[in-house]
Amino acid sequence: MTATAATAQISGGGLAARRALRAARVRGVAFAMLGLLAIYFASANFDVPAKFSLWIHEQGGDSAVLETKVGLLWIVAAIASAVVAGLQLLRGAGLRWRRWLLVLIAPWIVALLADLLAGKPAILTNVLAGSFEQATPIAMAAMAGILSERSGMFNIALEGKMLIGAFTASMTSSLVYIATGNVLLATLVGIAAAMAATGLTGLLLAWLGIRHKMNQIIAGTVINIGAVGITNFIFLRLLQHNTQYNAPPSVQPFKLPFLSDLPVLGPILFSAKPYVYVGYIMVIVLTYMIYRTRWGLRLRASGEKPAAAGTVGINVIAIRYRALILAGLISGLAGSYLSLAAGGSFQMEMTAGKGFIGLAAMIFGGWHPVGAFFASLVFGFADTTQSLLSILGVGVAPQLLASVPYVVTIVVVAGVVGRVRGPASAGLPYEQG
Amino acid sequence: MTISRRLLGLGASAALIFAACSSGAPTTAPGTGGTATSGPTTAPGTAGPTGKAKIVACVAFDTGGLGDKGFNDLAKKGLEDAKAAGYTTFFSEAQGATDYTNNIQTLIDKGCQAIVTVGFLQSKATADAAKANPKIAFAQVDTAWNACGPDFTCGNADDTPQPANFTGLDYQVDQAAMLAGYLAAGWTKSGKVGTYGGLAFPGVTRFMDGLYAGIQYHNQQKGTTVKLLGWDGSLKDPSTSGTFVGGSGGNDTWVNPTKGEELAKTFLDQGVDIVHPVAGGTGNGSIKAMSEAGKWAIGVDTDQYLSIGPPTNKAILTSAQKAIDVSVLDFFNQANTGYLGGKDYSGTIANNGVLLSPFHDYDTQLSAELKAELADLKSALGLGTVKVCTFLGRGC
Repeated sequence: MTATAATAQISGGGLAARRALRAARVRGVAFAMLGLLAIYFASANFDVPAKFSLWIHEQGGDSAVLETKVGLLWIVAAIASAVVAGLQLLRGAGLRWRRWLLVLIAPWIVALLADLLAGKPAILTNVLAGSFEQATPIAMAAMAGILSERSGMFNIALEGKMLIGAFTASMTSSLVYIATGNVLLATLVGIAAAMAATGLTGLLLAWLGIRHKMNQIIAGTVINIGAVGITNFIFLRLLQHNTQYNAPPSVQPFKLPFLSDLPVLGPILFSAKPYVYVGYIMVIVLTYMIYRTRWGLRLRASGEKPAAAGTVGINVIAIRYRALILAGLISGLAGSYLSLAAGGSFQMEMTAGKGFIGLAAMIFGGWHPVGAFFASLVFGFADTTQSLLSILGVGVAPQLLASVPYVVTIVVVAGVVGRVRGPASAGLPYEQG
Repeated sequence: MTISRRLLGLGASAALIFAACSSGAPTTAPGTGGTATSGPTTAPGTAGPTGKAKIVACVAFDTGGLGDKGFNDLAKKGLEDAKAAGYTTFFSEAQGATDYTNNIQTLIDKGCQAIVTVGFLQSKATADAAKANPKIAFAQVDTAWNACGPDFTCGNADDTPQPANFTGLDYQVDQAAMLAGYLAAGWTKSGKVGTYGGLAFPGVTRFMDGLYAGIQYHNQQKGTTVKLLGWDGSLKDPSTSGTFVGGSGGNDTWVNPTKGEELAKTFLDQGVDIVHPVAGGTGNGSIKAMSEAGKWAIGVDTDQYLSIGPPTNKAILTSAQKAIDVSVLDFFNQANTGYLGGKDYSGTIANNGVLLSPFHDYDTQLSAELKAELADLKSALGLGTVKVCTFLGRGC
């Protein structure tokens, strides 16, 4: 303790350091309390069995089983809490506690899950695999949001663009399927049409926001409203009576060769719908593009300080146009997931807020593709866990369970990510000098 | 989330404008055809009332909307049948719970003389409108006044005598669901059946109760040990632990097929091979997931084998169906004779107000024995010798 106090003094001392140290001690005590809480839970129902299984190769086949006691899982959680508490108290403000919090969360989630299940055996493969599938459209929306906001443009219109994408994909894919009977062709053309439609919507948003300097929130809202109105209108007038135009061939899961044969991991990670893999690739490519290329540097410059970027000869306007069109293309892909892969057909307002959740994931993820992806994943995991718990009938009110995804997202992401800062000039119109 | 909700609300109001436009115009609705209860209807194409003047008949739809392939569409079919029968018709469509009152008022302003509101959630709005407009005949799909307010239950704040111009259109759909449950218990290969609802209210949980009762009856009669996941009917109040989509009661509850797909997959993971979703368009995602897994589903509200269409419908064993369209038209016909209401309508197995849909693809695969047992159970339910409630934890 004295050692940390000394280092704090050496490294500048002063009020800020003392505050940081005090905050660190408070955290340390809080972690220790968590440990005590875990011990209390452990003693409360020590002998209740906990049985988790994961399919090894396929659903209904052999499974890998972890069989233990709820109490033991709580004790693991208690030990983890104690270790983090000890580190925090010993190292003081120097500890990168947010990373250690991640270490803490895993055993706590497992123990909490086992406790809630109260002896009911649970199969977790779909909870994990489903997290990725649930996260995919959200993560894609977040990627589109990141591109726009990094370039300095708010993109509230993601929800509407996804809706347009879902609609266009379903209808085009159905028509092509009727005409050719080729599933792959129908799907690809459907996705391409969706991306084209939403790319154009992105262009519209850019034109309103850049050319006419319209308030970007308003412009996005207008597009959202318009998207709901137009898709509902065509649905009611056309698709409702001609269901064959709204029956696209659905995108099937694709097992990656070799990788999907991996025991346990195969069914979770490598037997998903192609969209999920595209999502992984998108995160990697965007991270590289935004942080490692000249284009990315210019993109970030137009979002942070467009005037300076303009002074050194960067065409901020062109960058923003391109970013918004690209964001439009991505949100079209995300939208097509909803109708082609998840729902099997278009339904009115089927986005159900996923575009906005994508925006939240973007913010939680600190406007970074990887962060946003994990934020989406947290949301997906909380969602599937909630499904599992309610299906197995734990004694928690369904209304409470249904709020779990939101609560978990806020707690985990706010705790782990901490304060984030968006691009400085996002939402401000740019005057080319 | 508040921001997103508000923006969604904005979006919704725009859609309302569209909906209002479409209801204002003389809609040339062609018969949808193919639905179970009656043949295709042809729009008469008359711009105004000709010959004998019939009343203005209107429907206020619930959220989840037209095209839900469920109870809204069924009510719409009732309205289309009314139009074909010479009624002047209007409709309005809710995008969220805040629209209910305005929607009904819009219809009143248009001069509607008989108004059917769709869905349990419109209870308060409908009751208020009925009290304020004693000359207009109101009916509400999926509720019963039962002398205690439009929410099925006695002993709470809205306990008032039934207005003389209110008809609750109530469907004892648990009877149809009990048949479906018996069928499911006879068909399942894994011994596990799953169900979930949109929100925990009576119009939804009745299906789940019935399904549970049917499975218990099969277990009792045939010595099987089929289990139901998602709804433990042996509890006094299963809704505290049942599986529900949750959400705001708007689109995230009833039109969320991604969530439906995920729920079905979680059911599959736990060994369930038949799922009965009671959640409007959300359930379509579940039916698709069951179809892709080569397993089965039981439809809700309408004959979903017909409304969903191939190839997804190959999963549908049967549907627990409400004849909403028939009762809506009946109500209009009664209102046309000057009847205002004051009594609830109850659709049962006995009066064909609820029914089990045809088996379609599975007609030849179901054993004659199972079919005969289903027919026996159907007549026993009709006679009242077998009751759903005797199998439930809350009793009769």
